Amino acid sequence: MDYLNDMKTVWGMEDTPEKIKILERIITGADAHNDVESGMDARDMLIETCLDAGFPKKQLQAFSWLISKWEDEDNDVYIDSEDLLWKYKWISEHVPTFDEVSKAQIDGLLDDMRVKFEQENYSLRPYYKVCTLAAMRMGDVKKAKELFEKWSNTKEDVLNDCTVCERQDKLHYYYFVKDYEAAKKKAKPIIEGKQRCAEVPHLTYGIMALTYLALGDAEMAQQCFDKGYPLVEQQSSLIPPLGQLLRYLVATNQTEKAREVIDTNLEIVLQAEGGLDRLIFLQAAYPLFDREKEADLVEMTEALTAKFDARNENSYYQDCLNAY
Amino acid sequence: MENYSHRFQVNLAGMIDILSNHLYDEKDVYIRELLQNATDAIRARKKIDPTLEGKIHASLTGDNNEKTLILEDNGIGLTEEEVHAFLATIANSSKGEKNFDGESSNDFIGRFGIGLLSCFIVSDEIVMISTSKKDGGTTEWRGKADGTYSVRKIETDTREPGTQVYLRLRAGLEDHPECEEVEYLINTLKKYGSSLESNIIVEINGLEEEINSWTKQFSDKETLFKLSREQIIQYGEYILGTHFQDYFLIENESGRTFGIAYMIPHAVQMNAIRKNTVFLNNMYVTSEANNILPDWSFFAKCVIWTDELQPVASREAFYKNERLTSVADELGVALKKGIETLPEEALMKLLATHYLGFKALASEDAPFLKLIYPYLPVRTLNGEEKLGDIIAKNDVIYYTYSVDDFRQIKDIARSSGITLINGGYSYDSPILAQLSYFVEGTEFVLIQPEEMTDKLRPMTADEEQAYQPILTEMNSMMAEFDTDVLIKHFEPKDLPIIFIHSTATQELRELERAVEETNSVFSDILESIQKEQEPAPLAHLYLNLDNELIKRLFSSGKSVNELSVIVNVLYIQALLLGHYPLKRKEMELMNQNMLRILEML
Repeated sequence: MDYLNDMKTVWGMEDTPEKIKILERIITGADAHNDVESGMDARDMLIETCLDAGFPKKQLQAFSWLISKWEDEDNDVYIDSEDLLWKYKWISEHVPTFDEVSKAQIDGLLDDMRVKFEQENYSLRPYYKVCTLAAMRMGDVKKAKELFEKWSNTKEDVLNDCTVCERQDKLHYYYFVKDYEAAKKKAKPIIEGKQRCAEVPHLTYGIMALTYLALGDAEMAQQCFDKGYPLVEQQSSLIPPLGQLLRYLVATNQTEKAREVIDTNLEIVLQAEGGLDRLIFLQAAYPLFDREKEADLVEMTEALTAKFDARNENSYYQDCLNAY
Repeated sequence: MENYSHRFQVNLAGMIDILSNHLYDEKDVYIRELLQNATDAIRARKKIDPTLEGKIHASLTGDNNEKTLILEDNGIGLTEEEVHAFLATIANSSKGEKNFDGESSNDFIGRFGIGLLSCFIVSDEIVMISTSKKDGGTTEWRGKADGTYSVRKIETDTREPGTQVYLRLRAGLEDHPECEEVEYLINTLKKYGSSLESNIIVEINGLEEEINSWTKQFSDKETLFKLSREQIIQYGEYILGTHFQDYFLIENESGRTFGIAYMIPHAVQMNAIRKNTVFLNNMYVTSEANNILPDWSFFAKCVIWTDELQPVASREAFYKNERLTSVADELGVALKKGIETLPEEALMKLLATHYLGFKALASEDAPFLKLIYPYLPVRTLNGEEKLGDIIAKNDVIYYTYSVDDFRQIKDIARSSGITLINGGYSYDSPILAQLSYFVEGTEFVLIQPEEMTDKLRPMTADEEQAYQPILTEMNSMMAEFDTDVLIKHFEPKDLPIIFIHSTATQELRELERAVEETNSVFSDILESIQKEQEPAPLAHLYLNLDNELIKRLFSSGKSVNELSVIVNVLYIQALLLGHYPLKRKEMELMNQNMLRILEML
């Protein structure tokens, strides 16, 4: 059976769209043969691959199958609860980035995550963290502040993210609430190269370029761009930091470089599955769009801004656009 | 005879701790330091005495718990002043550490000091007796692990220049088999000294054995490039423990880094850690170098000799600096050139073993793709074929994006005589897309399944008149399956149906299945996503009016309801043949129709 041969092939592959294509083929093949175990393995790999290669919707789709199998008491294929709940954090983090998903649906999903963490006796700290990140993505400063307190004051356990990711998410929070000094302090070990992990400092430099800019440290801001851009250029899974770095270029009137960044990355941005990823980049590029020749991009930016604000029931993204 | 008593100017205990517990990864590294000192001394003497044959002699003497390791060389030796100088430089050894160039003359004493100190890893007392070529004098140095040492002149007229180091081995060195048995000592000496130009002789039970006489020739570039295939294959087995069948020689632009790239005879994970063996100035550095060759060198295991890279403090790896990056790039160029010059049979074998890695590399590296594309295997209507052979026979080559697309259209493609490659296998479609840019005389065309339907011939006007009303009615029933039914004429005649749909339609099917198969929280979210997506085009079920079954079906005078039972069965059959998992309503349709067929019997 072809899909079993494909399974052997994917083990040796890097996390690329090419790998995703084969994993999807395996899933279809395994399901057609009612091979639950292979279907589960392939989805498990797909969820991890999507984290590096982008495609959060495909990730969500695979996870939704996996979690229903986990819930199904008649399913006799073993699914590791700890691993599943670890991955649940990724799903919960990404769901607010889809403009198609309503606020009630996001709340419903986060609540489902909480219940499952409680049922399995894990700490709710990761839950509060993703809730904080969701509130940030939904532009709700007040709620983010409340949840941040809960996140910070709840005990860690094995499902807690690594210390570097935790640091990254906290400095992001400080940036979001405009406490730039706290963000700078939090980012210090990362900026100095003392702490890193698979996604850090890739995610850090964009936020910090804007943070240093806000603090008036032009030299450090530029350094963040110089170091950060090569890490995120044309990386489908790292569009938000790419957008932040572009925003920095536009804010510092480095128009030529900004245009180059737009041209190099626009294709992967437009293909991004998460509307918020697209919006962050498009808003950053917005002032440079040619109102006539790039009217479609202008329109797309404005439509997405309106859509997210409507979903979030606030004017956060419109304010971001106006603040330029 | 003069006698001095001094203390080291450094915290010796701390330094020994660093040397034995922190600096080095390998416990036997003091042997390398001894060999390095001896080699430096011989190289220095050769500058004034070029005909000298360098010799390093090692022995392990004494009974259990009272063993002594002796290492002796016929190098330039040290004068008493130099003995004092090397001890002084221990405290300031960084100068020498940063330059591991044995050919540069004057700084070898600095490294000598730190190297000798590493012997405290296994010994509490080191005795060195050295006779200098410069003044003919002999000096004895005794160093103790408590931090004291003494130096004295020994009056002797007949002693040949050179240095002897005696290590009184400490008891309880279970982690150091090389201190216990001479066989292990030989292995350690072979590890570090196999490429050294001086002869390394070990005494075993009173007999002398030279341990690097065969291996050292490989480190000389000119000799290496003249050696026979058998010798080089044998060397690979000796040093890497694998019987390789193919290899090529590589060197970088400066020619100061060169070596043997052995082709790994089995498939390896592309993201597996690379391990290459590297000698610096002929001294073994590591068998685990992972940055001296490009990341994509997964298919080769290399033995490299260099004199232009900078080792880290422990001299067990290299600093990742610009030089290392450019050496790795240049060796990458040499590797590609090596692949190019492999005999075709060896190249085919290499590609077959590592095809996935090569395809991944080729999909991102156009020059590499240009090099290997003729040999890449792809799947066509005729099974597996080499791209070069297909290109030689065709001006236009069609390829599909996915295995699914290929499966849908392969029958029509075969009957219409086009050349079709299944581009769904890993990296094939990106590779084929790139080939359009540089393969002259052949066009590569990505074909969507829908595009093949223009090969299907329409019904005649009479047929149209007869069957269109039935079709219209039937299609209104099929609407809920996002599929329409069409009647055509096509080859091959024994094929009753063809089911064609786009990638977008297939993705939507999968999303619908996900909605069906998950809990309410997730199905609700997935449904919202599904609703917002652009509607996917309908799938098409083409019925072949040239096929006996379809012809009889439509001329049987059956009612639309009866006909639709059969068409529905054909639809389900098409899905199953295409290995598409059925959606819930399709499963229901299948069951209902089976019952209706039973009733009709």
